Amino acid sequence: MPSWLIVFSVTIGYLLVSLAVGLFSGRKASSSTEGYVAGDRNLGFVVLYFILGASIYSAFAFLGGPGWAYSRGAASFYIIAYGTVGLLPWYFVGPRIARLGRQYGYVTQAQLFSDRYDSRTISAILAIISLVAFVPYLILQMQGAGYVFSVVTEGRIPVWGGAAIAYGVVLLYVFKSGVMGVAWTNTFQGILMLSLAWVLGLYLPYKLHGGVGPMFEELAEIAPDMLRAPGLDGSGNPWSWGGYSSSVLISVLGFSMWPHYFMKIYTARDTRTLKRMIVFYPTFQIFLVPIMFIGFAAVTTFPGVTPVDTILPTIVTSMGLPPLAVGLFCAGALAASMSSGDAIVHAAASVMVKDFYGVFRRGLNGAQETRLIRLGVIAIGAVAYYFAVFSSYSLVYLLLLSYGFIAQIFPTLVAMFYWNRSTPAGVISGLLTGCAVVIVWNLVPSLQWYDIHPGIWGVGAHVVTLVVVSLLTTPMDRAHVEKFVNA
Amino acid sequence: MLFSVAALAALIWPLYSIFGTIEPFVLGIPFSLFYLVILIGAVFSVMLALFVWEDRNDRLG
Repeated sequence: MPSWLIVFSVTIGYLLVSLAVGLFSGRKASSSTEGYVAGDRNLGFVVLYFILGASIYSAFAFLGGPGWAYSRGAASFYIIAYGTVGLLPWYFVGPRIARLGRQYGYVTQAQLFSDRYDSRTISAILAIISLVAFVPYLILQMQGAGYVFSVVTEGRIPVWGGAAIAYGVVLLYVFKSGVMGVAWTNTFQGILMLSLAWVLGLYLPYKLHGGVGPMFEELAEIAPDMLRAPGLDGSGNPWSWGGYSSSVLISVLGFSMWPHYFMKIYTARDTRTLKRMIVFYPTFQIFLVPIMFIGFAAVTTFPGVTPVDTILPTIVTSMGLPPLAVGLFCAGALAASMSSGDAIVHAAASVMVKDFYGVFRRGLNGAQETRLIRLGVIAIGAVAYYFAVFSSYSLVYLLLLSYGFIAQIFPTLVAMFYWNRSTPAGVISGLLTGCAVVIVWNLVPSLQWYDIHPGIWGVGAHVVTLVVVSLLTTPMDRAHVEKFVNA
Repeated sequence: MLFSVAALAALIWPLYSIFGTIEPFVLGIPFSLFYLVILIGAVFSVMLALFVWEDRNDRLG
């Protein structure tokens, strides 16, 4: 058997297991919207840990992480940094969100916000922010999957075919099983990725440099700026502290606000499970450390690889590893792409139907809603696939916007629970101002100051607008507000 | 909650600029990376202690 065929078979084997896990897990949840979107609010600790852990282990962490370490050194540590504290805000507000969700039947982020401020406009704004942020991410995950397939089959399966196979599987299990499919496949995919990260992360430095220690000592002599925080910028010069710090900061603010994470608060079995998961979450970051080793290992041995994100596949395919190992690597890379893609496509469809469509058309019953969300899964998958494969439109701009946009939800969350005087008008104008500032700062590079992320300016403008407009408008009904603040 | 803010501050400028150096190597990794590993451990331990404490209080009612 030619070696590419062995690699291909291992990859297909992985896809079949994912599909089986995904399809089978749906039987455990009810067919109501609560079952499809929030897993009947009955997920346990292990599954919850992996659903959130594996979602961040996206194609970005698996391919982009080594790429950053390879080209920008210590700059890549910002990924570890923000994940360490990113989920902590949930420890304080998460239990309240979960209780309110149980009491009033929320399954999405915007339902909670729009109820608190008694405003459908907020729901629609949040839905638009989420979709704008989601779609480019989904497109990137699909391209990643297609690329993996094309490399392992030595071009026999083109990128469009690979993306279609991998995401065909994702759409099948998300369509059938909803959040339970996402949860159990992420657990499986998470374990696979973690094992691979450690094996590759320790093996490659050993093979190429004789160990992790010697590798770093060599780098410290050749390229000390690489190991000194905050590493290098995109063009290879030392990165500024403004750039590094504000990237960490905006990612921390945005991290726990991503709707596909936020919605998982509702899936927790009880507050104790939720808190325990948040406490253990930083341990997942330890697994990013060996991923960075991979990128560092390649700096001196594989110079000049472009684009830098292909560094991991390049090493793996050019080191003469046994085909079985290469196949497992491909399965791991696909798992990284799919475990994020499935959560995003599921959340995007739920948000589109419940928070956007539901605002204009009320009175849908549960069965109709679940059916619409299922159609939404297919529709969003198709749109993203079209852009991933047939469009050469650059995503960089949209991606820059997305974290800045998502971080705008943070001030609203704080106001919701900690500031009784905040009003709907304040929240709406704050959100819109914040997003507008992010767009303007991205469009006009001369506004940049010490490389600070546009999202930070957005959050600043957001907070000022929120406070001023809230104080100028009539306060909300006290009893209504206390229902949320004291939850 | 104060601890969360402190942990965030430790990860960015100016604190991280003090500890983000190459030397000394610890366990074969540069100090800039080792420092992050220590912080992950610290965040985890403090949050775990808080959780256990709250959990015990809840049970005692």
